[in-house]
Amino acid sequence: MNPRFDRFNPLTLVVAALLLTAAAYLGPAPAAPAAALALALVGAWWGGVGARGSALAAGVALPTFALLALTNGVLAAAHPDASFGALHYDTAGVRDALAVALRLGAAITALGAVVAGVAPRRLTRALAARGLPGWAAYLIVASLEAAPEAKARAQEVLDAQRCRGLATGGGLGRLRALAPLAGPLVASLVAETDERALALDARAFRAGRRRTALTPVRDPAIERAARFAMYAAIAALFVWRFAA
Amino acid sequence: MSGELLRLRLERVRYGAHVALSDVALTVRAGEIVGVAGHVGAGKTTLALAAAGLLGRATQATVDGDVTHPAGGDPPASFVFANPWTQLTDLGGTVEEEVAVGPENLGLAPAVIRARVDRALALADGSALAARIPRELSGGEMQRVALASALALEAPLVVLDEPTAQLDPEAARRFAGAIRALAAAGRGVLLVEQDVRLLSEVASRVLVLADGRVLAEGDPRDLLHRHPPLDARLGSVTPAEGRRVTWGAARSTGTPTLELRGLTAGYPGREVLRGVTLTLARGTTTAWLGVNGAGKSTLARAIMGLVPAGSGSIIVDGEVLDALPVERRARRVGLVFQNPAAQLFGRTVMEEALFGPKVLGLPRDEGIAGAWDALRTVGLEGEAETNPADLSPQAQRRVAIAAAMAARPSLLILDEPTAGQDEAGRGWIARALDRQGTLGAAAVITHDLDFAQRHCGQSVTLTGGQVSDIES
Repeated sequence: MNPRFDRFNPLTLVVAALLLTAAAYLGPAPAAPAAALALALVGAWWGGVGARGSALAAGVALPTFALLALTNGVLAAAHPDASFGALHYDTAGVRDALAVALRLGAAITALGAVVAGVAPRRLTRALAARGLPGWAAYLIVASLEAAPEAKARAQEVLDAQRCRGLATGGGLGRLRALAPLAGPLVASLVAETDERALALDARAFRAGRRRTALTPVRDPAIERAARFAMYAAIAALFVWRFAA
Repeated sequence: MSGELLRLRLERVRYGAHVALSDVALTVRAGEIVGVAGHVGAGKTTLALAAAGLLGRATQATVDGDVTHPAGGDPPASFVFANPWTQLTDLGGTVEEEVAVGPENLGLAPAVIRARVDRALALADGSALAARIPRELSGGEMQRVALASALALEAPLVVLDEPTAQLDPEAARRFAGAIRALAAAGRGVLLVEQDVRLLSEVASRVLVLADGRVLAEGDPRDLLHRHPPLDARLGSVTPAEGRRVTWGAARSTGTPTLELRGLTAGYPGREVLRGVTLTLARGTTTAWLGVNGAGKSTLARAIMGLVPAGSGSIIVDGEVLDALPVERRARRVGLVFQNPAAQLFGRTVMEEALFGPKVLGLPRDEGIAGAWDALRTVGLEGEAETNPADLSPQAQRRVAIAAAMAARPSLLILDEPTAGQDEAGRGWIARALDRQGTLGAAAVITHDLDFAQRHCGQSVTLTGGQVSDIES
């Protein structure tokens, strides 16, 4: 899915994303979340998913900052530093808004880069190697594939009904099209679920059995050590944050 | 007896109150290809699922009887379904990963999985597909992947349920070769098929089912070549001297119903149709032939406006359709997809038949008359008040055809209407084509050469998105 991310075991990337998220939320603001966001963006760009990661982060963080800064820093300032008639300015409120926005941006960029850059099947193979049972692996892949499959099936139903003369434009048209579109879609998805279950059964799929892999995901000692260090760092952040 | 891979004795198999099978006994030995023939609803798929040990485990069936696999195996049997699309697990991103899913589920070591995948792909004639993405394959290619996926389990018994229903003749011929190779390698094969010709060619023994019971068992060259057939609904292999080798008589009036002028069309980054020029005259029934992926379905979708045309022109009954949206083209052209489940939603068959005339704004009386005429044509007038969901998939396909015909289009295009149909069903579809020929023109996209030669006045062969041959 991504040649650079594919150099790593997907679990290492997931743990790195969790560490950045923990640092953003548990570290001192705004320095820690800003650094976490910067690192997440660098990682996303290096991995080839920077454009999507940046757009996602900006799409969530900027409106969040604008809304919170307006409410906490201007309209409902708790401790105003300056007033202009009915309007106030509260530096602490704006700083809090910045911290929340940076934390959200860092978490979304880090986790979003992993979702966008790591193939679900590779992730499930890595998890299976760590003991994930077959049913959970299938559940993860099926969940991630469900949306595109439903979209493709919906398009098929839409095409079939338009070929019968169904117009779907306009408010009334959409309302009239509801039953002809929703009925076959739901029925075919339900039927397909049954067929898929049978097909899985036919491939010797057993819920509790541990799966192996044609091409096992590499997990070198250095990455295992890195993950251990990152788990320790996450634990240390929790201790520092809540024991202080 | 030594070498037995399947010993099956079913007193009764029920789905709720419906009895699907009664008093069926069957054995399959190593190196043997046993065929199962029968009309639609005879109980063939139920028997296949039972033989593979899948009945009652993933389906809601009550089974009275015994199914044993004396040779053992983990699993003792593998299964290939008729529909190649729903048997992909999606656990593999490439073909070889998809084929590996079974051995991975068995918890085998990577080197063993690799060896099994390579062997299975070679046996299924799918080695060249190994690095491809499964969802991007044609139906025929996907069915080969499905066979390889089943073979990778290396079960002693392989059960195949209408595996060639979606394949073009060349792909079906290669598939038949793969089945023979399996038997030669010592596997047992249970082949459930609607295609009596294929059964006659590959099976060493055949079991004929009718209404859930065994009608006959024996040599396929005896049972499947009888005239009149053992069961009229099943049909029989037409003797070579009796087969029509010329196309059926055309009824053309000379007036063009469809005119395509230099039509190019395709998908983003992939042009499928490359300058198709074609005229179908009023009164003709035309078979559109070609291998999987030749562009037959794309041509139908381009005529309907579902696939954007790059250049060229589409004219039906003198009206240029190029700028019209799909729903406006539906006044002139009726297209019935391969999968009827994509369109049926009505509570009754009649409601389905009336839907087209209603949304196209036909006068109510005309719509009702058209709906009854169409239902009579496909043999469903007695099912007008039946819920389509209660009908077999084959009958549902006839509902979809009737629904398209009820709106009285000038051109009716049917995409693979005979897949999975028995002789009786094929007869009703032939009637629909004949009836449409009196109203305008009909085109049928098909791999069923026998049906095409018997019921179509001419054929158009597509190769690589171009018309390569026209016969009449």
